[in-house]
Amino acid sequence: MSLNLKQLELFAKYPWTTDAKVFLEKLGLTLEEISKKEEYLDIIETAYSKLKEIIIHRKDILITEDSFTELLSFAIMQVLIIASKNRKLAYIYAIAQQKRAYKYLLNENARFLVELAKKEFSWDIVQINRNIGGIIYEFKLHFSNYLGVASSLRDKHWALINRIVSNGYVFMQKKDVARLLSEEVKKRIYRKITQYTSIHLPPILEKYLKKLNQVVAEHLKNDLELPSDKILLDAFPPCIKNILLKVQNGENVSHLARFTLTAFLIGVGMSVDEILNIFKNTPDFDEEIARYQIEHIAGLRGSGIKYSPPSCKTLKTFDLCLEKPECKNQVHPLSYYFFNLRRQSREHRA
Amino acid sequence: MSIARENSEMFLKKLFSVYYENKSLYVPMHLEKREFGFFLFEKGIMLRHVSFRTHMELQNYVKTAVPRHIYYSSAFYELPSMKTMNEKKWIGAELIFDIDADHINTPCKKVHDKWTCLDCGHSGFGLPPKRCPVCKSTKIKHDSWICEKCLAKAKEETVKIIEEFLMNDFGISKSEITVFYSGHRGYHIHVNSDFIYQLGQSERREIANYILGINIIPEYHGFLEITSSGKNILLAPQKNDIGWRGRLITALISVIKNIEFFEDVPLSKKKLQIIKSNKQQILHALSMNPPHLKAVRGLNKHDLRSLIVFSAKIFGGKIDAPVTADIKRLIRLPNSLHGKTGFIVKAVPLSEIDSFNPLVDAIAFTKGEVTLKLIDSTPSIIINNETYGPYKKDAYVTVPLSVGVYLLARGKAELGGDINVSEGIFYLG
Repeated sequence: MSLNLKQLELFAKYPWTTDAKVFLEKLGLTLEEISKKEEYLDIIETAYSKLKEIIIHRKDILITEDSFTELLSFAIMQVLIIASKNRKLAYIYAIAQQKRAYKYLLNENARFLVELAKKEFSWDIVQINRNIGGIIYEFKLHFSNYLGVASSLRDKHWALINRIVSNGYVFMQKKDVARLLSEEVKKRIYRKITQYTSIHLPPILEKYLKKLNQVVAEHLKNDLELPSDKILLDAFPPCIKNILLKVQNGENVSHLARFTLTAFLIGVGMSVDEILNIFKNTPDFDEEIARYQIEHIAGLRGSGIKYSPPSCKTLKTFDLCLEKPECKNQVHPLSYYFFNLRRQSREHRA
Repeated sequence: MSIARENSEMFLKKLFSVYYENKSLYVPMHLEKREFGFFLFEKGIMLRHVSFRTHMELQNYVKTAVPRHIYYSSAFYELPSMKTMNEKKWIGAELIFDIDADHINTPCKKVHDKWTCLDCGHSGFGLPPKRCPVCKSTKIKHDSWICEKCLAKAKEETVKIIEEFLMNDFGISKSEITVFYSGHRGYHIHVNSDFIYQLGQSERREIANYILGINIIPEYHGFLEITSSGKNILLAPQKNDIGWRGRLITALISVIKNIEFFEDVPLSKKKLQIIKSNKQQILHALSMNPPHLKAVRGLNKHDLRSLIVFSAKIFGGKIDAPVTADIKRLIRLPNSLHGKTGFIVKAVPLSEIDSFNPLVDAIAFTKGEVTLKLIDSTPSIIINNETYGPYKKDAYVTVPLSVGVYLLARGKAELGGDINVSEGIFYLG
């Protein structure tokens, strides 16, 4: 196979690109072959230890090995995560890859970023050189591509209104383009891993999976931890269960979803600290900010108004309602809960 | 329901029926992928999840059912007649903006709009408060009326949103924009463009916030604090800057100039007084090159920041954000009748929007008269350039059919005499 070194180096940096994938596919390596040949065993070991690093230290995993090892270990890590069937692990891994990609992308020139963005993610992006208010903008990106990624980022400087938007394009600097590209990488990797439901592993990889599962069990808490003595999870409406599950799995959920969950949990009688504990798993958790927001919703700060979660109607509008049959005739998540609670305790008595 | 009320409903339905027998409905593109919803005269419920393959099917359905309100989905679905969203399989959706005079605080609202607290009965005029000032209840009934001034303001707002935001900032072309009079107190803007359809809710919410002017942070738009010869000054962006930068400085200047006329500036009376007395000095600094804000005794940078943020909200387009963010909204079908007014939900070509007057151009029934008995008092209303009312409760009046339909549809009057509901008594416009 003819491939120059430079290209292989690129694949090591950006193993999620279509070209890297095609290259690996052309090698025609199967999992069986990898697990049989001596020369690949080291690479499997590398993949495992990189993954362990990610789980324990939440570190981004920069290049430490030769380019081929880097590329192949990327693929093996994904195989192991698919086999673990752990969505939270998939999410943490995707974030680590996002951070890694960001670091490398920052060092590329504008032309490289534009070409990559067009080729990999079909962005409508143009290289420019424009001075607005003393700041040089090197890029303009179509607002629909911008929103496709930036609308899930919560920091206010990503809000569209805090950007310069003109004639369909958002003016941007390099670090922001690199950041948005890295978010696309995260989405791509997470989507790819979670689209598989199972994978058959040869014995050696099976052995590594067991080791991995142990690390996960030790370091990634995944259960719903509720003070079960006073709160009955079974009586929660489906929408709240769904948000709770996502939060516990470390997935990013929308602002309204967070608000809904928090206001609901306050409504059923959980304390600020108990709620804080639930949010600890979210990827961008900041205890101080989270505590402030929970206290605000609980009416302990600001206006002193204790907020109630949105009604079923509002939740429907914002696509948070799952429209399950058991929700028929229900109007509010809290009334659903208390209704269910009464019913369950009645059934218990009967 | 009283017999008179029942007769009135039958009369309205008969009129709607004649309208639908003679008028062709608007056919949204990809008709077969849309969900339709109907609100019937007879039942107080909405029939949803209806779909049609052809214009003919839709037209025939409407002729037979004669619904009071007709809606269609801004979204396209693989299977629009399925009951749940998952089964429907969402493909994409138009981007909708709803501009309603209800969201614009026009001075004339204090004359024609009334609100009543449903818990304690307290009432007042103008835009309804969020909570009743007496009993703090949030159950407040808003009785809003059509008004030329409010509608003109809504139209002005619609044009501003199209030109300033959709075209200038978002680069959307005229051919991708359609405007409809809502049939009541506002306008709907529909954007159809390939890069719009796939946008999700949070993306659309961002667009709504952008247009509303909320969550703006002045620092990102060129308001920067610098120290010059030992003094702190706040640099401002230039008027001709693109996007919100130029708009924000224009808005700020306009707010400072007219500071006396704003009721809800988030500053204390004392601070407002400081702005009023230093107005010329502040405006002068803002007109310099580079424009800037100098410290004025008694006004700190937080006050200036609040004023800038407030200016953005004042200047933003007054849209109903949940409508824009919704990716599966049911919206009134153009050329159908608004069941609470009898006006036509009418397409307004952008080239004709300046001269469009809904209270003339969207009248469905232009000929004939009807005698009514008022069941509530009403403010005066202008329809087809003539003023009617104010009317007192229990008064009998004979008015043109367009006015009669409006009062009947609003539930403010019932038929005042024996009316032979035959086709000869009225004419469609």
